[in-house]
Amino acid sequence: MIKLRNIDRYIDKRLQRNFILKGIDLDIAEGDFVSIMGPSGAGTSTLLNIIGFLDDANEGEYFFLDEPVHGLNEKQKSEYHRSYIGFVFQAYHLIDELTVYENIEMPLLYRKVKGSQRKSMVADMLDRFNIVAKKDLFPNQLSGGQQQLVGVARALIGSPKLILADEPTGNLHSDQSKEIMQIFKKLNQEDGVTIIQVTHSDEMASYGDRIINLQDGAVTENNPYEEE
Amino acid sequence: MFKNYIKIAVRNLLKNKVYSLINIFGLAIGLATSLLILLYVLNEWNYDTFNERSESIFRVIQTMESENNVEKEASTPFLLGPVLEAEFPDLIQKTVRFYNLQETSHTFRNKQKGVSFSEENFYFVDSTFFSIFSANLVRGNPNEALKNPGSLVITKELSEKYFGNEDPMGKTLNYKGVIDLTVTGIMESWPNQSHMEIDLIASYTSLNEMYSSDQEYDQSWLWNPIWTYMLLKEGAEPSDLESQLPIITENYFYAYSGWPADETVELSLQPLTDIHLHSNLDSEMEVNSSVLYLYILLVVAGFILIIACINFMNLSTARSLERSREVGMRKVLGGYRKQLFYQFIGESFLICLIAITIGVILVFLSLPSFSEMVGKELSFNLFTHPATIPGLIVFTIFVGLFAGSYPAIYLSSFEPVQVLKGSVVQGKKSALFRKMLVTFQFTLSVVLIIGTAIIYKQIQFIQEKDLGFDESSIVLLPTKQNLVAWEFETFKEQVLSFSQIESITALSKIIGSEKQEHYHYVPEKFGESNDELNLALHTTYDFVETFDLKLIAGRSFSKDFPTDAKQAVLINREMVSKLELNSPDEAIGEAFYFFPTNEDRETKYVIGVLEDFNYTSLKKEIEPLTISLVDGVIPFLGLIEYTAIEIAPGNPSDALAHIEKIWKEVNPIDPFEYQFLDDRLTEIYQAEDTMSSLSLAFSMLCILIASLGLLGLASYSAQLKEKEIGIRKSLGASIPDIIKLLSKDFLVLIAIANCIAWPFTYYIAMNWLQNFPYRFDVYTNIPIIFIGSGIFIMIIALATISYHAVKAALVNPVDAISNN
Repeated sequence: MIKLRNIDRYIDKRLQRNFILKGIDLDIAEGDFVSIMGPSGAGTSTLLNIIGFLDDANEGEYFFLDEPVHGLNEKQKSEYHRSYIGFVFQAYHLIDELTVYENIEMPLLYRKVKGSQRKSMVADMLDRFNIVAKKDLFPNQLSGGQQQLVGVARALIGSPKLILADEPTGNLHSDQSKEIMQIFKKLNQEDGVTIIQVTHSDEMASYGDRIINLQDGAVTENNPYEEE
Repeated sequence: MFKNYIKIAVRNLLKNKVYSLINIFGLAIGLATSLLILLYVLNEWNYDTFNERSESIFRVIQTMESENNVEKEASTPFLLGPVLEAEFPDLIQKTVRFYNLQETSHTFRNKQKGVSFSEENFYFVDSTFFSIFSANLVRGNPNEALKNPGSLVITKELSEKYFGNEDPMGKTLNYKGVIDLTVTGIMESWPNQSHMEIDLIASYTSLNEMYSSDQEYDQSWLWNPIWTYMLLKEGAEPSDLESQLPIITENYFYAYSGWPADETVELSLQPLTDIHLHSNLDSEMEVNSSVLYLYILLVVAGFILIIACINFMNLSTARSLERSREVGMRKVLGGYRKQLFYQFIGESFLICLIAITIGVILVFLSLPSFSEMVGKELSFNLFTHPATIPGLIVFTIFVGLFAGSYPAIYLSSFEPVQVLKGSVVQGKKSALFRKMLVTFQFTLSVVLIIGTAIIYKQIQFIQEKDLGFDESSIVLLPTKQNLVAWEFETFKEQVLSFSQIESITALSKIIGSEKQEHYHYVPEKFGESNDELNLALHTTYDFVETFDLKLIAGRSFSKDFPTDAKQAVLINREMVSKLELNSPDEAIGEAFYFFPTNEDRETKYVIGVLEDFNYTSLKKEIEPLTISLVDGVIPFLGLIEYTAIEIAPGNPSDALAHIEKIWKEVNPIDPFEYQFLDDRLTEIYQAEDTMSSLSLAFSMLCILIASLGLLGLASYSAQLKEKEIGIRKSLGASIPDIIKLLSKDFLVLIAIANCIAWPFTYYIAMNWLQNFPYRFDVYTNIPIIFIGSGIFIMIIALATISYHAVKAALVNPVDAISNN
């Protein structure tokens, strides 16, 4: 599904070039549940952003579903966001002025889904995450775990093939974290959704079936658990 | 989707109530102000267009030129109209002449009821009037009403004034005790939006009866008291006619036996609809307005609108932080940049729509007082004119686009990666742009304040300037050819019998006013063939005393010198220089020819010299002047128009009652009407006065809107620096330190704004002041005005900023730090 070849991401300073990512080669197949780990500043988020088309590599090639991404324009990238990719963020990034219901509904609006169908899709999603009672509340009226549930629901409503989660449990306590991870696990196993998450926690990483370790912008260990 | 946008927009508005109020009210005030100005400008712009054929109606004007004198005149000789009609039948459909006997007041009397009034807006007109101008006759036949001698058409209002509830048709009004005019038609009141004012019109053919003793009265081509209008035939171009007009000047004007040899004349056509705004000739029917003032007002309206739009831009971009996460998230969820752009532009349309609704309400509320201020009957109705609502919509869209596009471009440009990290740093670019906009706003405000101050100062200067004569406590009575004129000596004697009457005289024109006369009075030393016209005034005895004029040589007119009656003339100091004499004393005894080339030439001798005084208005320089004495009934009837009475200071009512009593004894026909000279002189500067109060009001609004914007920005910057303030306070900063911290940036911007505004305003102001021969002392006053305006703006800005600075400074530092 994802094929990265010799990806470089750097920032040019006056006297030197600072590499954030250097020479990354990575293959991720459909149905994988991958955890990207590494210390702060290792380039984990940047890698995830490049995979999610939010950032561009300076060098190298990126194929998504065998299509070259490095040649896409902004509008085509938006098309991919609509149809294939769902994002979950550490800080949830819900829109404060919209209710739970409206936040979940938003991706469908950009996809021009009809009103009645939208209603039933959102209702299903609320049901699935047990947040029907909260649908008219605004994000600031929810706990962190509940907000992240809404964030996940919003990412899922478009039935994406790929979910990118940047430290999804970083702001949550352990019970809430487990709940989110179990949802991911279930999605991965039952619906075959590919999941890539960035995490600092071994426990959270263990929900996945593959771990990629980054150190100073380079892959140091690809899937350490499998070697054990 | 649309619903979603609206929801977000409305919730954002409600969430930030202060910003929303500033945004919406700033825009609403700006929109309302520009709408009011637009109404005023449109009203001025559409003068005379109520005439259905206004496009084809032209006025003939003439330019007389002699060696050192050019006069552009709005009026023409008597016979020009009929001659043009006869000479160019292919081009001209019809012509119409207007004649008011060159008098400004006309007495009409209903003999049956015994009521009489004096009317200003009366003309003798040709019967073609109704087929050229669109007057609405309620009674009478437009083809017949002005045909026969002695016919009169009056407005409904006047019908009520003279006849009450009676039917006036067929009844008579006596004109000046000279001729009975029969009412043959009643018309709707003449629209205000016209360069002419009409209350009564009589048939032109009546003039033959008025002038029964002199049937040659209209033969002169030199005397030009007639306003001539024409309706061109369909398809005829005014230029076609204009190119042939030299034939007329050649065959009629120059062919006239009395035509001065070195004087040339040129005829031209003036579109009817241009007169009100573009014509400022001699002998206009009424004082016209100037298109320059409309441009100034439009610029001011533009300024105010721009300032309001800048507020909107600044507040929207300043607060972008709060919307940035939404932008990033929407992009991540698949929103195109274009969609986000439309969303934000849509939000600004929504705000504009709310603002314009409030603005329209404000217009309705303020229209009555605005109308009163500008002296017009302005009306604003959403539904009477089909273009109003679409116009407002276009206006809204325009403002929405103008104010909304920069924030929309800026906000929709955020990169999700950057903004979703949660640590958006305010773009330096946008902060710089915002600073530039604030500077621009305050530059406009400073320009307006200084402009207002200068206009105000100049108007005040003109109104207070010593005219060289005493204009206070002088009562003017119209005296042209009425019974008081016949019995002036009796009248004078009886009026003077009352102790509060100081002095009484009579004169040809009101001194200090626009209207003036030039006569063919020339100094002997310049030779007999000299053709030039000089400014001249005719008075009776006691003129110098009544107006407290200063005699610098010789003496004033006196009955002790019997020769004065025929031979005495006074001149002013300017005339002394013109005579190339070294001192006023040398001028005594200088001879003047009156009508030197004429058979009835008179020679008069200078008996006194007066210090210069502003015989014409302050819009003109003082010119050389001769003042000659009128003695005897016949010259009095021919030349004198007003009686001037100086009454003792204090309550004038007793004196006025006395004068009225005498007036009624001497002149039972004409109503007693008076005007104080100082009031009369104030009217001359009406246009400037209106401008001055308009610009004062508008520049205040401008500052208000700009301050509103500053208030918003200051509150925002206080919010941004909350943490910094907290830290500084915990390190021991005092409240003034904090105020300094927050105000410094803004004050620098305002200082820059002043630096930009000053030279620009100075240039414009100097150009404007060039229009006035008499200006306030520019070099001592301008620095005060400029620096004063700068300080004024600074104080207002500081006060605005301090509100938030103090608020921020008073917050407990712990709260501020821990919040972040």
